[in-house]
Amino acid sequence: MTRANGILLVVAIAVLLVPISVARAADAEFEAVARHFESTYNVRRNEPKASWFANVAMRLVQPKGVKTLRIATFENLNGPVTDPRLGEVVRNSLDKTWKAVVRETSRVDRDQTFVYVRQAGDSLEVLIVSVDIEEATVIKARVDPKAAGSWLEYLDS
Amino acid sequence: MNFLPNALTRPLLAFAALAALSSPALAQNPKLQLDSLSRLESKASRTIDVTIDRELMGLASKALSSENGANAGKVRDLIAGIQEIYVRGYEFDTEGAFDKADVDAIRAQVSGPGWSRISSVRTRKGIDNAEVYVMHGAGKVKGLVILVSEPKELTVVNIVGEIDPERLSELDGDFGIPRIELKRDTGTKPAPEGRS
Repeated sequence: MTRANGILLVVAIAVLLVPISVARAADAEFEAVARHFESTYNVRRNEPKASWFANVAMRLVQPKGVKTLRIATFENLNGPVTDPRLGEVVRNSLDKTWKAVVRETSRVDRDQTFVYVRQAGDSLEVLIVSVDIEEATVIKARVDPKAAGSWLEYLDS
Repeated sequence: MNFLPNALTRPLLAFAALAALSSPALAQNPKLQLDSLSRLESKASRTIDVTIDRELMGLASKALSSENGANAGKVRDLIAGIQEIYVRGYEFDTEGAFDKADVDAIRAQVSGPGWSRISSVRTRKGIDNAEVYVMHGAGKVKGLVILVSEPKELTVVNIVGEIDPERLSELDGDFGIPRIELKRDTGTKPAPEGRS
């Protein structure tokens, strides 16, 4: 590899990493909800680590139109059967620019889902929080609205 | 006896007329006021709240506009005229957890001018009592309301915009809309007032 090619490779990797790194730094909403699951159910999150390799891999596999994507899953939940505070935790983690699209709550079991969105420039930011008897998931993504269809198919799969 | 000078009376009357026209109770408004139902959240064992306002509906249409699949085309066609979708659903552990007044408040809103009830509704398993109301204006459907009121369940769906009621079943299960369908021989009758 020539010196020029080496520099180009470093620059390319840096460009790939920057958006995800910036997204992580600004993910107070994501962190608040993830920490709630960790403390309530005494579990650790499964999340691709912030290594350069994981970031590059994530950028390569993420669906068309997705600008940033962060996913954490929590398996084998312990603790309370219901989580009446979850809706409040999610809502309090978000500022007024976020809109609730779906709020599905339960007082009898753990099944709850929250979907919030907000416009961010020409992108759409989405926060999805879902929990059931076995596992919980937190997803935050910034997507191109024109390609959101393929992103929804990705989530569905 | 005139308490006000004529110069003031006419503008005040005009203002009052405008205010009356803009009142939800009197104006032909396909969008229902559902805020009063939020008090049921604390009593319900399960709730679902879906809010897709005009801005979000525009984004959904934009998202589907770039999709080429047959299903995307079908949904795009179906939601083309829809401007807003609101779903409020509550399940309760016991009967009588919500009042007749809660249901009547919804029925009162669909008893105004322009609204009519579709009489032929075929419900699917799990739904015993569904009422469907449509608002017409200028020869078009301007809005639609589905009201499911059962002893332990209350669901209200409000679709604002143009939708063919007979294609409602194509939306069920999506956007939190319950699974109901209309019979082919759909007929309409005026919306009841104060019926429970």
